[in-house]
Amino acid sequence: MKQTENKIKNAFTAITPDILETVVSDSVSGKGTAMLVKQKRRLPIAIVAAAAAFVMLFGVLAGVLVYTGNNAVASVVSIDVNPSIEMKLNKKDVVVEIKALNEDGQKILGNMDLVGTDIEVALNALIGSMITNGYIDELANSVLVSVDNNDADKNAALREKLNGIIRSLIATDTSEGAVISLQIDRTNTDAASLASELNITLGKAQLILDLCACNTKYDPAALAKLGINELSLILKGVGAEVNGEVNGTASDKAYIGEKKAKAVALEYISLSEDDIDGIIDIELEHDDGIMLYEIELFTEMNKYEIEVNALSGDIVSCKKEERFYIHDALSRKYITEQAVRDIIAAYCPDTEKWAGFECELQTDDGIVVYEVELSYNGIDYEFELNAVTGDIICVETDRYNRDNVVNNDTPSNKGLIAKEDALNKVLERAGLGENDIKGLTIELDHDDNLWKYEIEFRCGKYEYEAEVNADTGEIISYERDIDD
Amino acid sequence: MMLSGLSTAHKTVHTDDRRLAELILSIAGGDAHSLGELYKLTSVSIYSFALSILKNSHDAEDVMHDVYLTVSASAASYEDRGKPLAWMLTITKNHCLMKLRKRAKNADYCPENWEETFALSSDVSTEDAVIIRMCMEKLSDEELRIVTLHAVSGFKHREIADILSLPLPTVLSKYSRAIRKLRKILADGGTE
Repeated sequence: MKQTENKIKNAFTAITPDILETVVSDSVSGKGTAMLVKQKRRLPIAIVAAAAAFVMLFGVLAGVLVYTGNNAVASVVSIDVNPSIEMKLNKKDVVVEIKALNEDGQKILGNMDLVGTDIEVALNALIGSMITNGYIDELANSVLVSVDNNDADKNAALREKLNGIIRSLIATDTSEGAVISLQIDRTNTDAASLASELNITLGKAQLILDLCACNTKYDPAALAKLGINELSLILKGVGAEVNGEVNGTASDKAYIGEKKAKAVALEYISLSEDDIDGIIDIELEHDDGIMLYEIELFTEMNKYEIEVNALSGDIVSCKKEERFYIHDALSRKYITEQAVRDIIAAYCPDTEKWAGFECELQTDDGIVVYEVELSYNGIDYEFELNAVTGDIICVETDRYNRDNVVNNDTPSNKGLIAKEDALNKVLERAGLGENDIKGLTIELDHDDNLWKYEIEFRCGKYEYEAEVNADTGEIISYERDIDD
Repeated sequence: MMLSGLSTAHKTVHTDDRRLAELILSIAGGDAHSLGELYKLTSVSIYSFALSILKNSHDAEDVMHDVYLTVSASAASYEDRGKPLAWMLTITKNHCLMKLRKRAKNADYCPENWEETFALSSDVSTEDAVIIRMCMEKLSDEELRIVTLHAVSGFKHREIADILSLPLPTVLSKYSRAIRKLRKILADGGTE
């Protein structure tokens, strides 16, 4: 056995192409596909440095302002829905500076002058404007509030206060809305650089990185395109931990729901619930700013991954794979080994004479089959059965030894003629007797739904080859050649 | 396929896990030579495993290329749990599955003709070509994967059971059955 293994090893070694040069040059130039096991986003050094400088400068400015009276900044608060607004507060929580961080934020802020107002008043005005402008409604009602204050106690107290105010503003009779309150972590340079690269608030960047930490497949840039309600739903789905609190429940009313998504998916692949081997997974996911239900389901033979647009219910993608890694787990779906033995017994009836019986589940050309081997009356049989239906796909027997003819059982209960009868037909056609021939081989073969005996022998200088229909005894083919 | 100009010196089938882990850590530290050594120690395993899933030499070569780029880009995030080659094979499997998905979308994919693949190559002997063809054509998908992981990459059956998520007895019986099958075919001169 070792010798065969060595031959295999040598053969695979011989055919392995040498692409080291290309690999090295592409790994240096960054070409090719190399994003699969990315665990943490690595940002270009220049961006990290710029962001770090930004954070330091910001810190210095904030520090200077702290000592300049009522305008001293004690905390920086940013509010994200999709509009993003940043407010600087003094130690009495009065707004000393306010600015919009994106276009939607500018729309919300408009001509409002909120400098000098208490944070509660400012929040009332801002959230009110967001509701009026349709950024917060029954379908999307999550707010991210992030607080930057080095004093941990003050930070927590301010977060609690803001959380209370915002929740009372967004709650309606039918939905409570969700508020994510984050404590800004100044030491998180990844978040700082991401915020600066994608032009989002530090709080949103921190939230996105927390989500990415839970699922390495997430792309920060794609997450950044989503609003806070979507991020809040994803956060709930993946159970990520954040540096702060999550209160309330984000609305998923805008989406078609898991039940509908499942029905759409099943209709698309023309299967019913009965064909499915249990819904394995259904998750609200996102792809490049689009929310979708990702449904993973298994049938006996295949695994499907179907993406359904969560808003429209359209099929976004459908992937089908053969279940080659997992079919053993499903063996309960296949006929039992005893059933296989019963089927084989139709061909080899005296089960006491069975020797070396082996029965294995295999995948062959995408079909799960039982491969069965056994010796019976000196003949080695190999059967291949469809593991679901029990249909025999193919039968092979090894060279037939004439010495075994006498006691050989025939598969008579299948209605096939005996080997001797088949041989006699051919001998009759050749005008020969059994004692005239040499080198006899007889094989029972199953091909194109037809059972046949393949018979070969020699007589003098001639070689005979014939095929006999094993059901009817009719000679299908007959050849006589001069034996070289 | 780049079969011309093949040297055999780069192909050592060897799985010294500690050395591989050191190399991955050096790659994370930016050492370009380490990637070369890692390649020499693992390329046969990676290519064979890719080939056993994809059954196409061009696709397996593409995947091997992408695997080393991924390893290079992800080395910094590699956590050494004593199984660096298994980690690389997981990356290989993922790239292969991506390839299969692409193939599923491409209606005009045709299976490789193994008789022709090595016909013109002076680097692959007739016997090696026959063995590869027999492996590709006569083994079931699962048998092929198990055979390459054990015979080529030197994984123990228990490790293969982990890699392929199969019960150990299944791996053992499929392996011995596959080897018996191949031995029989090869004894008959590769003609079955």
